[in-house]
Amino acid sequence: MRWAFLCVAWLLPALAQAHKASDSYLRLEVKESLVSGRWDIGLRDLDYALGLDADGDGRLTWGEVRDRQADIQALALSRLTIEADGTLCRTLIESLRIVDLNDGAYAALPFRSTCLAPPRSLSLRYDLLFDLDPQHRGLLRLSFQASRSGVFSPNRRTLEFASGAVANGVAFRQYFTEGLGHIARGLDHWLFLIALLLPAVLRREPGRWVPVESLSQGGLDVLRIVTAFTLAHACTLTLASLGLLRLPTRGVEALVAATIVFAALNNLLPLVRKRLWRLALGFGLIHGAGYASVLADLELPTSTLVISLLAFNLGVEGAQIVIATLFLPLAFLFRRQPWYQWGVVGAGSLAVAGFATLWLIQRTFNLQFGV
Amino acid sequence: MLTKLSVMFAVLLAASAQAREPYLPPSDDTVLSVGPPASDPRVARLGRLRTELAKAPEDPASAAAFAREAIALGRSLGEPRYQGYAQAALEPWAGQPDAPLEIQVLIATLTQHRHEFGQALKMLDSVIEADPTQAQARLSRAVIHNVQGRPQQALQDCRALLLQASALVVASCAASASALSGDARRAYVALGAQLDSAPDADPEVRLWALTLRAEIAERLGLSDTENAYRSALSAHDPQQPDPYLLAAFADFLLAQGRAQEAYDLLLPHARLAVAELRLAIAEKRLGKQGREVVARVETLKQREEEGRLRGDAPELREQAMLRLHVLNQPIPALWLAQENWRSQREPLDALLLLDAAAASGKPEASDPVRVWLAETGLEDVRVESRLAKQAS
Repeated sequence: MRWAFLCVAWLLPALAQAHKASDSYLRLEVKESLVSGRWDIGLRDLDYALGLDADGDGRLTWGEVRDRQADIQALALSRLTIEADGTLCRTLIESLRIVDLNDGAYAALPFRSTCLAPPRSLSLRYDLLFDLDPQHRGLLRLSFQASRSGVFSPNRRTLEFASGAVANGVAFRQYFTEGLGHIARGLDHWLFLIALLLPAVLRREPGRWVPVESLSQGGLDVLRIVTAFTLAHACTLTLASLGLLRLPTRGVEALVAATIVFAALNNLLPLVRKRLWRLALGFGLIHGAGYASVLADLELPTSTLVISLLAFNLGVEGAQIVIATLFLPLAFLFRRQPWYQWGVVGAGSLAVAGFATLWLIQRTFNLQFGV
Repeated sequence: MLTKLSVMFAVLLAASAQAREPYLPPSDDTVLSVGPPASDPRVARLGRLRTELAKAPEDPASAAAFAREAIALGRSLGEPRYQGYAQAALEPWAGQPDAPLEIQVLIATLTQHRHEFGQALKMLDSVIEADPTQAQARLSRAVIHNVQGRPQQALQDCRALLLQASALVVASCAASASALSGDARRAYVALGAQLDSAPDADPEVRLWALTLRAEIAERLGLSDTENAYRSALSAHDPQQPDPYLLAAFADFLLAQGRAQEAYDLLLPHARLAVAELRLAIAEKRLGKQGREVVARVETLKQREEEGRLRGDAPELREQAMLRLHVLNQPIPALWLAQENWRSQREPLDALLLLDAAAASGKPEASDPVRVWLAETGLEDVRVESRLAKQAS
């Protein structure tokens, strides 16, 4: 009886990977329209693919590798495709050297890929060795505006990257809108603004409010306040976004809340009566620092930063002007009404002060109130 | 996700930043890479099979022959690339439920080697159901049952092999199962007898049987253990020892407190990852310091990171061992050992869990092992002594 031929040698599954599995290392850097880098491919892998060991003695020498350099370059070239914005970049593989990595010697292939223009998007296709070894992986490290990485595998042969750099006009529009949106969404900013604007058409005197005589007077005051605020906060915002001014976020946010409290209370018990714009200036400095973290989170590339900041600030100013313009005529209209004086301004300021105090506590002691 | 990858890759690159600059070798004769020569019969055979396969890539017989040879060669060299080559040969049938049975068994084997035991079992189950005489499939399934701590089921598969395989194979299969379920002593004796009566059996089968015998001896705490390991090692080429056996013997020496001997045993084969891990453990025990020691630990960590980047299944046992015995991080080691325990339940995994539990000061983490011991009836003096120490 013939026993079935059984392979027992490889039955023991608990064996950990002895050597390392097959990886190649692809390092790329994008500078203007040039994509350059180095591709490290294991000599063992190249030997299996191309049969480099000419004399078959199991010892792969530099001479044997050099003799087949053209084949190695051709193989690499045929297995890597670089496209910029949908157009093929012309790749050239230079003469190879050797690099010793942890698990043995690799062929280090320097290459340069010339694209038509500085790419806004990059597409890389990798097909090396997958037909011979589906467990091979291409480990990618790419420098394209920022450090990126990826892994090529038989099921994922193409990786795409976008530059993240945006044309100036687009950036301007984007951040102007961001600035507008920030005001529209920022409740604390609203409240501060309103707190400052509420009494614009009035003047607080002991025990009563005196309505201003002309709209233009009130309007001028408002403009002064709003502009001072914007200039100041543009200042700190810019400094903080460029990393020149670093303030603890929690501290700044608490201060912002404090300024709102002050502004609201100021309507009820005039603490600062004249030249409110100076108050706005000081507070603007604080609010600006508070916005810095917002922009930092957007991770702007430095080249667009200046434009973006300008646009953002203009957006903020724009929104404020809109609010003020909407509010002012109405306020002026009703400035003499008691319900405006005591209701809107009085009670309103109280309410604003209340909210802001809650925020102040929340932000100082890092609590959550669900407000 | 990409940020995480970037960080990991940055770590990788930072670690490898030191001397990874390309260079031009000094002369054409500079040897860059060493492997088995073309004259090596296994290499020659694989080369022939590869050529034949290239002519007929859709021919199951050629594909199976090549894959089988590649897996065997890869295992004996400790080179996992060969599993990739085997997988490539089997690609035309990947995911096909009606592929030829021998192809399915080979795919299941590769799956098993990637530690995807559940998937492998499913495949083997369907093969055996389709053809109960598939001896290879039964053998593989028995091994998985053993690894996952189900010796009774393994034994069933071994019994089914009675008329399909040589006596030594059946005996080894049965011994590995029964040794895990309370019949260790009898298995040891029976295995020894079979080995004596079959000196001309297939060398691979003998290797398996001898390795098994040494492991059982170690579990029983027999004085013959060292001899058993040495005779297993000497049965094959000392220049190219079986990596699994090498690791097992090194573990034995380390457990006996003979770290220097383990170190000397492993150093010539330092390129093997199993050796590298145990060398690091030996170096830690011996208090060795120096650049090479540090470099070795960095390499091991780097391998882990690369495995993660590649998306390979993590080698939980080895990761736990690294943290427990080298990096001195018992709590992560315990977590890893517990995760490992979910898919692997060999005595080595039990020991790892027990040691990690003790080192973390969490004796209750040993309870699963206690339960498993009672269920399987395993006799293992090392496991028993640790449990006894904890109870006291």
